[in-house]
Amino acid sequence: MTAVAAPHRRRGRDLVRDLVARGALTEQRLIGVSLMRVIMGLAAVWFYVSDIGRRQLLWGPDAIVSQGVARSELGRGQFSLYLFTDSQSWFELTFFCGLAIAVCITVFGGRTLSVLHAVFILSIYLRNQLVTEGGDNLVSIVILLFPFTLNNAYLAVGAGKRRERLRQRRAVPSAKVLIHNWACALILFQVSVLYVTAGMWKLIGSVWRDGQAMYFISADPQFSTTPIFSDVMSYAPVGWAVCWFTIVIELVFPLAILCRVALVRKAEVISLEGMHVGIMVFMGLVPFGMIMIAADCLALRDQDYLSVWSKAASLQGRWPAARQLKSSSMGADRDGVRHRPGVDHPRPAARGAEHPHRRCAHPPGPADRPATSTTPRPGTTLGCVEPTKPGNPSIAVAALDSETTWGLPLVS
Amino acid sequence: MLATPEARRDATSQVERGAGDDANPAPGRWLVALAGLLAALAGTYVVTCVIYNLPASVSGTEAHAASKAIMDPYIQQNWMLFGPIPTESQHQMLMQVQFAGSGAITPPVDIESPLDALPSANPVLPSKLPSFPMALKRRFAQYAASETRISREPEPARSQDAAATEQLYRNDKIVLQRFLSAEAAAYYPAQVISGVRCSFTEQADPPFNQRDLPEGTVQTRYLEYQTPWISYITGVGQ
Repeated sequence: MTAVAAPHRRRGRDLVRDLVARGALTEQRLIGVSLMRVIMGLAAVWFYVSDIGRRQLLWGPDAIVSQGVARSELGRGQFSLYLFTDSQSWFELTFFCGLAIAVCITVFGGRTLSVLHAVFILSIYLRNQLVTEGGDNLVSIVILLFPFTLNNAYLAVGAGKRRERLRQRRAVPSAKVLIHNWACALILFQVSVLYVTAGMWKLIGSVWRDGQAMYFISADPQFSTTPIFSDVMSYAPVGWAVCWFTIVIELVFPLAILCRVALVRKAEVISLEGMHVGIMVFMGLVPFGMIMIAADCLALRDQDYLSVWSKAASLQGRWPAARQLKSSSMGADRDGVRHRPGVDHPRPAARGAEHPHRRCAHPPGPADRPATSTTPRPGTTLGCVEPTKPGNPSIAVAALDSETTWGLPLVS
Repeated sequence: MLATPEARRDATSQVERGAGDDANPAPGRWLVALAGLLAALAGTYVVTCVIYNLPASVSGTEAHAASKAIMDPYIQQNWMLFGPIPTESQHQMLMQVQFAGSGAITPPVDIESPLDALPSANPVLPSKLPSFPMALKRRFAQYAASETRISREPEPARSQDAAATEQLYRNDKIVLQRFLSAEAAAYYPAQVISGVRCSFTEQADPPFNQRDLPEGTVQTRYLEYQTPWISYITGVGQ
């Protein structure tokens, strides 16, 4: 019995180790989480700055929501730096420190700043809960997971060097990577819960099903920046289409982001961004729209961003990036192996590199997987694809992590 | 060395995996243990979150209450705001101010429309001040409904429910008092104010099937709730 069970146990153990290695070897969604950090940081700066002249009224020691009321509204275990004392100097110090940290996290990112930002932004939310909205609710959850992510590998000061360090240590599974991937997965799960719940709420509301919701929303002067909005939403087919478009894209969000087809993921995110840009422009909910766009950023994988980026660069031939991409070897190594952009480090040609007719640089084994795979398996050469075709922009993404321009990688 | 079947199998599996094993060693025990811990935490979070967001009738009252106890302090989720059922009427706040000495009372002033216009006037830096009337209107509509319901109850229950309602809306009343005081000070800066009062009114939107009718043909505005005179507080927001 034991002799029979032992191989199964070993196989199970191998499977677990394999799974752990997959999760602990390579950080996923580095670009998405960096974009999320930047946009959420900007939204936080916006939150502070938009009422900087009215800060006494909203959060000061003698604000509309008095300190006593704010304290009584706190839940178990909650605290706010603003409620430590009713000193005016302390309020000013806390407010401007929070603003400075919001700016810093937008520019620099990092785990320490994420923790500080979480403390300060939650403090201001809890100081006056009347002026927070749904977007702030999402921020207050995401911000707790943010310190566990590597959120400054892109679009941050020193991001290029940071990625270089990542490439050097990537051969070994590490706890930091595991925790980063775990936190990203939980943030995505939370965003999915939000969208599905929102979609379900809409679905059970008869005004949404009947396509009249947008009409009534646009009739509220508080949520209508222009009369054109209410005029357009009064037209029944448009109102109906907008209502059902919103319901569908919210309900399919979890399925779309899990889909292996990149086009589906991109289409879903573009649809959501369109909806949120519409909310920002026509309903005037700018910070809310920004926060939701930030949340959507994590839905795309690094490959999705880089393929879009390279495609855009190749379309705009006058861009230096595109010229460089075209004149380069299109990102593949001499052995024709395409490394996953921004993620994998170039590896020396392995066995089999002398066989140019082979699709893979090393002898294909059972562990080989297509380049579209997001996680490498330990012990395999990372992603084997067709040999490089000059002029094919889709391959240009391969060499993109050598240098940076605008924080996004371009070939030097 | 490769004499035992197990060792042979290990060697075969190493060969099958390719040549990269030296570069990508298998995770250590501690990493596997950490992954297990994280998986347990994530699993707990996912289950709790799903129960929290399901209706209590589906997830069960006890499970729902337990999930709320876990999540409410820091991971509170109110996604109903993302699927709003839009109101089919417009609510408005009107303020009256009583001056000290003469006792003169001002006519009702619409204090909400100017606040609602602030974000449109400055869309680059949209103010959050309109959140106050929005929140207060919602809360006092509920309060008015509670008062109406309580007034119809028989006496012993009425007193108990009235006391509970007063307790429930105590903070809202304080916020309304301070909000009106700040507004009154802004509207009448040179006057000595003694009291403020607020009227909440409601005006139905034209129904969807009457949306093309000329404006003003179907809407009627009526008083929803009026507060008693509230004492003025000096220095709010200053």
